[in-house]
Amino acid sequence: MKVVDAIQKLEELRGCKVLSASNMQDVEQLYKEVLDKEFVKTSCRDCYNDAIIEMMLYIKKYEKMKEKCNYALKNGVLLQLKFGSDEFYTNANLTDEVARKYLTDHPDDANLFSKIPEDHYAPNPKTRMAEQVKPSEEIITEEKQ
Amino acid sequence: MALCDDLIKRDVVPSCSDPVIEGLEQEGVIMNRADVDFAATVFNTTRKNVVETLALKKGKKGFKVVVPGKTPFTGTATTMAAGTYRNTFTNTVSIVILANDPDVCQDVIDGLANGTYVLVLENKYKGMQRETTPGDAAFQIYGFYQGCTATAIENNKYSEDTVGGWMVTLEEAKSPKSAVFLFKTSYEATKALVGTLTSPAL
Repeated sequence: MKVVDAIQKLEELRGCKVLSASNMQDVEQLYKEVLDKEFVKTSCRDCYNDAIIEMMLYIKKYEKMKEKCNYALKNGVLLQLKFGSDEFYTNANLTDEVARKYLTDHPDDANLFSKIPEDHYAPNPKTRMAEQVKPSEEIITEEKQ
Repeated sequence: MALCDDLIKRDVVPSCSDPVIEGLEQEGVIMNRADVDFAATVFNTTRKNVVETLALKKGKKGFKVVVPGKTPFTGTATTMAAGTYRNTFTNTVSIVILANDPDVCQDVIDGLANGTYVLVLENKYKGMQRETTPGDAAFQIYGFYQGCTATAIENNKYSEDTVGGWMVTLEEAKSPKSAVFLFKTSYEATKALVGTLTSPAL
């Protein structure tokens, strides 16, 4: 689904005075599409309208839908790429790029993640090839002499 | 084995610029103690009563506990308990559940009666004016060492306080520390961290 379609659908739903059962189903599906998380029903009857507002605010703020992330953090974990940085990441804003960078810098912190894709630990064929082609320092020194 | 230095390390004076205030905020988090991933829990490297990461096990989440009113969680306190060789602390947390229906009784009250829990509550006093680490006094963990278990649960049909709901008292006895705080570099970051405790688990 494109972001334009999501906005259009959200505006339609926002215009409904009373949400029908099918509208509610649409909200649940959109919630997964836009925010990449499952919709949780609560006892509060406004939870569907709240979800619509939450999705609209997210799209308004980031001008896109949340990127699907292949990594997930355990609940109670917050990542900061630099110590004391105002920039921090939870599952709400985690991206593959951020997770990869963090795990590269802090390989011992893998236990903070609940989901790490299998290919994260697979050796990168390009890097491996580059390592094979790159001449060793000894060879370079010998050539200079 | 290192010796514990049971010494005070600073002046015992009130803060004039950031005076302590009583009370707790209305919203906290309760977790099954078995769901806490202690292996992934991170303490501050120098301040050993500050937890920086309170992770839950994969697929597990905590639950919000909201107590309305001007004095939520009334009865929550920490007291010293004298021991033969070492004194410890007893934490008491009081929760009012303004509901009484089959779901609440089955999913909450029956569980509270026999389970062991860890709670995170937010103090009204947050220490935001502190020169270093402002906001580090905001969130406090109860039940980290021994877990909180129920010592009293009551449903008084004519209670004016609980208006027919439930009053639950949880207690953690023999905690070796007077308090354990949850703090990750700033108040905002810690607030976000606490928010993740109750998010749907991925």
